[in-house]
Amino acid sequence: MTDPPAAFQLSDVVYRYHKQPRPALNGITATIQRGRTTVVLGPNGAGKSTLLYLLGLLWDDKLEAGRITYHRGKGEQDIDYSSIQMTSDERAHLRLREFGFVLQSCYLLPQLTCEENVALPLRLQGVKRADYDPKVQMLIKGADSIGGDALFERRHHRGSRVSGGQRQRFAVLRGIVHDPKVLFADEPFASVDEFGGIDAIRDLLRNWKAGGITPQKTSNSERTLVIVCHQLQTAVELADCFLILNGRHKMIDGRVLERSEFPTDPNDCEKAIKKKMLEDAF
Amino acid sequence: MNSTSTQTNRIAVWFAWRDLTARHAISGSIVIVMTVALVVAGILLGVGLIRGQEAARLQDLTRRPLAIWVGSTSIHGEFTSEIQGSLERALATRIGKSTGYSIHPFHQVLLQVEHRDGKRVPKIRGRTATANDPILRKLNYRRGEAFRTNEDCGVIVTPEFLAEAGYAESDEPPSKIGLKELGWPALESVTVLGVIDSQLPLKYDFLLAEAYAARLLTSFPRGEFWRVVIGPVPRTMEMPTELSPSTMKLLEQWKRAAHVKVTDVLPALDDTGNPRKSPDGRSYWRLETNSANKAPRVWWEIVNELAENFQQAKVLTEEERADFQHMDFIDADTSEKPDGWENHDAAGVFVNDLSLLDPAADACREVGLATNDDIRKDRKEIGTWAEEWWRLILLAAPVAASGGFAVLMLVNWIRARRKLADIGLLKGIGTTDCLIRRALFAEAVLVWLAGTGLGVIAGTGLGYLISFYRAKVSEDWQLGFNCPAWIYAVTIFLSGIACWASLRLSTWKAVKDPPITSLSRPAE
Repeated sequence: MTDPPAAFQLSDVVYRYHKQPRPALNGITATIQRGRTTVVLGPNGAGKSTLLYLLGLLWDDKLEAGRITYHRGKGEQDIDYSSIQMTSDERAHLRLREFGFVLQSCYLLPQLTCEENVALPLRLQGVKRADYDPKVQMLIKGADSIGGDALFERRHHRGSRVSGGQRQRFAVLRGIVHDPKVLFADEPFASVDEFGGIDAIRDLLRNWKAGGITPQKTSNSERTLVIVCHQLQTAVELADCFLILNGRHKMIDGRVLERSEFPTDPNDCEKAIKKKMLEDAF
Repeated sequence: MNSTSTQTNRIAVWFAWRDLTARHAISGSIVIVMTVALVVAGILLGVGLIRGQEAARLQDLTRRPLAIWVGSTSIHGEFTSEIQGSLERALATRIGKSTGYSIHPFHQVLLQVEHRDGKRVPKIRGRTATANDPILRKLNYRRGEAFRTNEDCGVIVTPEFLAEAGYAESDEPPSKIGLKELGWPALESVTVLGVIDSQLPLKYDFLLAEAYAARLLTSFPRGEFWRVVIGPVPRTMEMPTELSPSTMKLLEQWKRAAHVKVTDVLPALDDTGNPRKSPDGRSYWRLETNSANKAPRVWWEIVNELAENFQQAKVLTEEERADFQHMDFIDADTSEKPDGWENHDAAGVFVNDLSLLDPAADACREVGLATNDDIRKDRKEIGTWAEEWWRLILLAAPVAASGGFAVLMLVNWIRARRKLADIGLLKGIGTTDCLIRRALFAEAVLVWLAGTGLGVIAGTGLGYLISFYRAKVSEDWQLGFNCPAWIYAVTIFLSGIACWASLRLSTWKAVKDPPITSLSRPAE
């Protein structure tokens, strides 16, 4: 069985925040495979979010060393983040067309309704309202059928007038509405409650990944999900593989572990991963 | 403009509109819009009212006779046809005939008016006017109208004239009033043709039609007065010793006056050859002019002056005249009237435009005429007043504009705390810097349109409203609104710059920073 093609290839990536003595990412070499769900794990300060922002082009700074290559697939030209001097507009274009983001702060633009927030990427792509309206409504209805939290009824509310959990689900819908090739999710479960909220987000992500909620533009095998997550139990339920970061031990930074290497039961898997990470740390 | 650009602009305007009208942002938006409106309205109102006031005062000035009064103000001065010719040539050189000027000579007239109480005859000073004199058309008539011909028999009177005659402002002016020459014994009943509501230039009290004025004045006045018997005075005359020093001096001056030939002075003698005495025991003196006197009014003034010096002057009754058989008496109402005057005392040089006053004044001075420039003084005073206000506006406007800009910056900085996170998120999901900049520009344009729109409407509307109601309250206080178009243009343009700059400066870093930097800033 051949490995799936890579979406991102990282080789000896060193990244340092401006004037910081210690690099945030120190010599990471890893492959994030296309069409799979990669959960980035690691202790606080290991650079999980930094890595996610670098991959999603949310940072403009150059790498101090190493290389990140984005393989777009289907005969499209690969992009080397470190060697090509991309303009701000080119980066924006890539973020808009190929990437989706779900951020920790579950931020919705407060001046827009939830529906307008969800439709924003399509509107920015220049899709006409007549075209995107049905699609957005279908997406919200679909999310309702998964989470059952009356999102459709609240779609005309302002972003600031709905609960944190609903806001985060609308944010997830905004991340997937344009059916990106890669969805980056930074702590998507951080601001939702454990009584159904986490499950709803997880199911939304899983559904998108399986192609069940958005119209098929990107094939299922192309959809890549990169998640930074502290809820290990939820993460193992989503993960196809784990990217382990441990900033204190350069030698093992960026190690990728297959989900299949761990027990099927999420609880057992969680314990096994913790053990593995502990072993790696020492 | 291609469709992508149109689409981008549409999204930019949509973002801007939603950003301004969102519930959490509306108070800030109102503050910004009202600040812009307030500054714009303030500047327009300030400038408009000052310019309006200046324009109204200048307009008010043009309602007065645009004239320079020339000639001597002395009673001996004359404005001859030769002087008029020279003046016309000088004016033609400096102004040009095509632009239009006219010269209107007149006489100064000193009369006495019958007081309402019937006991007094106060002095009044007036002038003559021909029917085509522009001054007649520049007057506001409270009652009646201007002379139609030079022969119109009547007088146009001022409030000062009526006050002298004992009529209060609230009283109905008389239709006829008694007038007489100084020292002349009888009053003549004269029709009041018109009553004007303001003072005449040079503070004259009344206007008389020229031909009528000439008829009203006597040609060869003769009469007899207590203690002054008018008649010829010989140069060898021995001065009566009981006269006061001032009267003696006056008689000496009179004897030397070239145009008043004094021929005789005789004490009236009784049957025994002694000087006659008045009933109270005082002497009578007789003075007469010769018939060559060109200026009977001058003669009468001197007589009047003498009469004043003698403390009382009185026309002799028929019975009293009987004591003076050797004298000829002429009654006031049968006295000979002159046909008119060959020369005038002064003239008004009228121009059509305020700007022609200065060259006209130069022309008058060029021919050696004395000028009275009250209108030029008023115009200069208005110019100085406006200039001072302009200086104040030039100082105040930048202060107001800076204050307004400071408020815009402050509010935008506060709003930017949330806006930075919005910008970060928008950039994060793929909005280009160009769209962000356009959205900010659109927001500035919307604020600018609303602010300047409100400011222009408020400033202009309030300006016209103030001037409208002010005019209703008092006609004396001229307060118009006249804001030049360039002030509108400059104010609107600068307010646009201020709107854009304040918004752009407060979000400058967010537009430049990578998305995650803006996103990581604290949101609302």
